[in-house]
Amino acid sequence: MNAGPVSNSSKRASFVDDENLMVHVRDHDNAAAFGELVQRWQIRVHRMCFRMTGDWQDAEDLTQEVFAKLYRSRDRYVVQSALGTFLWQIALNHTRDFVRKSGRTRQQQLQLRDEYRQRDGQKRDNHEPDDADEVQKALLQLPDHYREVVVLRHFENLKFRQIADLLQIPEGTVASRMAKALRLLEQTLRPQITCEDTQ
Amino acid sequence: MSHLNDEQLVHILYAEVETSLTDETTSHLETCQDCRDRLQLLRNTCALLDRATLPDRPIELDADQIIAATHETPLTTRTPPWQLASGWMQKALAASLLVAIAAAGFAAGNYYRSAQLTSELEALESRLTQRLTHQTPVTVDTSRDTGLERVERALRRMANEQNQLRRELQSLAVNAESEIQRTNQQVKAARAALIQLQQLAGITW
Repeated sequence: MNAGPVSNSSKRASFVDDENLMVHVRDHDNAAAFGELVQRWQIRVHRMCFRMTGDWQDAEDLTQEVFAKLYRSRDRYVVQSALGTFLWQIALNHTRDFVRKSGRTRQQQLQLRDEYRQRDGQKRDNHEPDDADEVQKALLQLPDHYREVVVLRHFENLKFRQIADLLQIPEGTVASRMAKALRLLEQTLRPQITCEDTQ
Repeated sequence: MSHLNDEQLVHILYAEVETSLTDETTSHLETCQDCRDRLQLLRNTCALLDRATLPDRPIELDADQIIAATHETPLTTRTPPWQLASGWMQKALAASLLVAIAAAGFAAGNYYRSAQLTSELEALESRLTQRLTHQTPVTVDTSRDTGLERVERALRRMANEQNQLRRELQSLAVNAESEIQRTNQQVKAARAALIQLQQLAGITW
């Protein structure tokens, strides 16, 4: 899986793919290669962690920890597997652990998100709840196993097959979770969708 | 063709329909209003998700700092095997651990009892040695007995004491032997449990 790393630095060393960089990290403890991987993937991992936790600060801490885990796990990386799969697996497991250990319920996540929005809103005087806020709120209301499928398929653009490999579940299950998640989101976001229909 | 199921609809939605199914599903959608409506609803939801772009939150991690931090903590701090192990493996590991702990505890207890037994034996041996080397002076009641009878009684008393000591010694020796055998069995059991534990840990590492 080489799902289009998003980074301005990707232009610098785009001729070297992620897997080769990771091999350099694994075999030679190459810090520069690791730095390049961090540059390429940090925004996506950060964004995914936020989608899963609803808190930017937590997301930043988690992102840092995910890359630390990636570095620690470098010996376990096998060339045959795409780095994306390896990294997303670490990120997902770490985020799940965090959510479980923090004992944070979805309600608490929503409260956190609202607090963040309030703080952020103070900086932006004309801030009004927008689609992103509503969607993020609706996402946080989803059960974790639905949310991660939506985040990976819709926002991170992974294929159903790749998600199935990541989560180690059948592809059909991924698709049915996605359908169920979209239906739940539709129920939560119905006012917006109806409004869009009338427009 | 029956209605498209949810899985098929999301595959169509994300354009991941297998080529072999494309014609079939396309032709069904053309004729089935119900499936078209369901697909449209999913499309509307996705459209809303598409509009929900996150605010720009730049992140600039320092790779060198991350590496330095990982070096501070030992690289061997990976997920412990009992966390990697799933379901039955965790239970097996837990059971083996319990058996090993119990066996080790039992063995330790037996060892303690053996040590206690040894000290008792040593005390007994010391008493016996003392008695044999430093004979307790025989007290003789000169008012009642003749000389020969006094010596005979004294000797009989000494013999009785020695017999009693010998019996105690034999009893302790028998106990010690059985304790040693039991301890050996416990040590064997503990060793077997530990080997099993190591094997399980080796498999899951």
